[in-house]
Amino acid sequence: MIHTPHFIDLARIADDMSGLDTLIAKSIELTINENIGKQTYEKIENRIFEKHGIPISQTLQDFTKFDSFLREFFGNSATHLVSA
Amino acid sequence: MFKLHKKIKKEPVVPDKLEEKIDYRIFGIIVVVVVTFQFYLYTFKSPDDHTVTFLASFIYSVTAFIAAIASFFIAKRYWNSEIFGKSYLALAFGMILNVLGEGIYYVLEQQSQIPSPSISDWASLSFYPLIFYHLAKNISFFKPTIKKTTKLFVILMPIVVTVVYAFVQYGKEQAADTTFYLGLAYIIGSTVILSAAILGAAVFRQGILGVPWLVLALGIVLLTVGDVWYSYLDVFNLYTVQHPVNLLWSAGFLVMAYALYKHKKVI
Repeated sequence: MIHTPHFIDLARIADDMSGLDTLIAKSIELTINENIGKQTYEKIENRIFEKHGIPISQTLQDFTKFDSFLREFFGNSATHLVSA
Repeated sequence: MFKLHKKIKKEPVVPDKLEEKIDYRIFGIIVVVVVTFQFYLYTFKSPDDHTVTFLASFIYSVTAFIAAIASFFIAKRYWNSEIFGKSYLALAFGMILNVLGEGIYYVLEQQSQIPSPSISDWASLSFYPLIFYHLAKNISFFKPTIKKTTKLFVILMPIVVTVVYAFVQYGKEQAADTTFYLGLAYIIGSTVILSAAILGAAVFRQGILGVPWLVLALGIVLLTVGDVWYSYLDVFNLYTVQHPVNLLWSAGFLVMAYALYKHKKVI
């Protein structure tokens, strides 16, 4: 007989989410650094910190917010930067 | 009565949206510089004076060199990055080849050889594939969704301008030689890069990177008009170093240098 768990391990899900965010943040950092330079990444990072006082990884939890920062710099083509 | 004049220190306000504006005074300065120079050549120098050719070549080379230095500076800033690093290096080499082409043209002219068509044209024409590489590399990386009307414009514009040029010039007694085909090569090159530059300006339009791209497109517009006008004049042997067409090239290079400065400032 299979026993289904009676509880949801919220702490574990939160850890997994945070790990995923870090992974995405690292991947975006790498894409920007490799293609359009470290300075560009720092500029975006500074802008996010200046406006919200949070690091990029935290902005990724609200992807539309992160996208809006990219759009500030690169216009409507910004979404494709993340998918690149 | 004692009145307290205490200055309240204002906290710096973080802008809600990043903005970058074009400083139109720079355009004014560019216009004044190139027009004054051309006016000086036209008014105070005889066409037979050897210094006229030297000064005309000098201003062309210096303005192209300024744009080349600005491109190298940006390329160095983004060194090792796949898109910005390589594309700005290509643009810088394109500008340097323009300077080289002008230098060869001047030397051949001084040696009483035919300066064009000559090897100088190979150097000058190499500018187009390099600047096209610069534009295409940037645009393709961002994989923009392009409207059908924009696509149509980008494809049709070079075709229409080239066909009109060919239709107007071909068949003329003077035009049935290498000069016509050389002019055609310049026109195809400049209209293709103009199309790509307009596309780039449209792609980045909503962001602050749109400002340098718009200025870059404007610089390329000036070069394109200059090339089309020059090709027309060359076919009919009407080109002189004192001709106002020279203004467009010098102004175009300086506007491109300003675009590169803007790029450095925003990103």
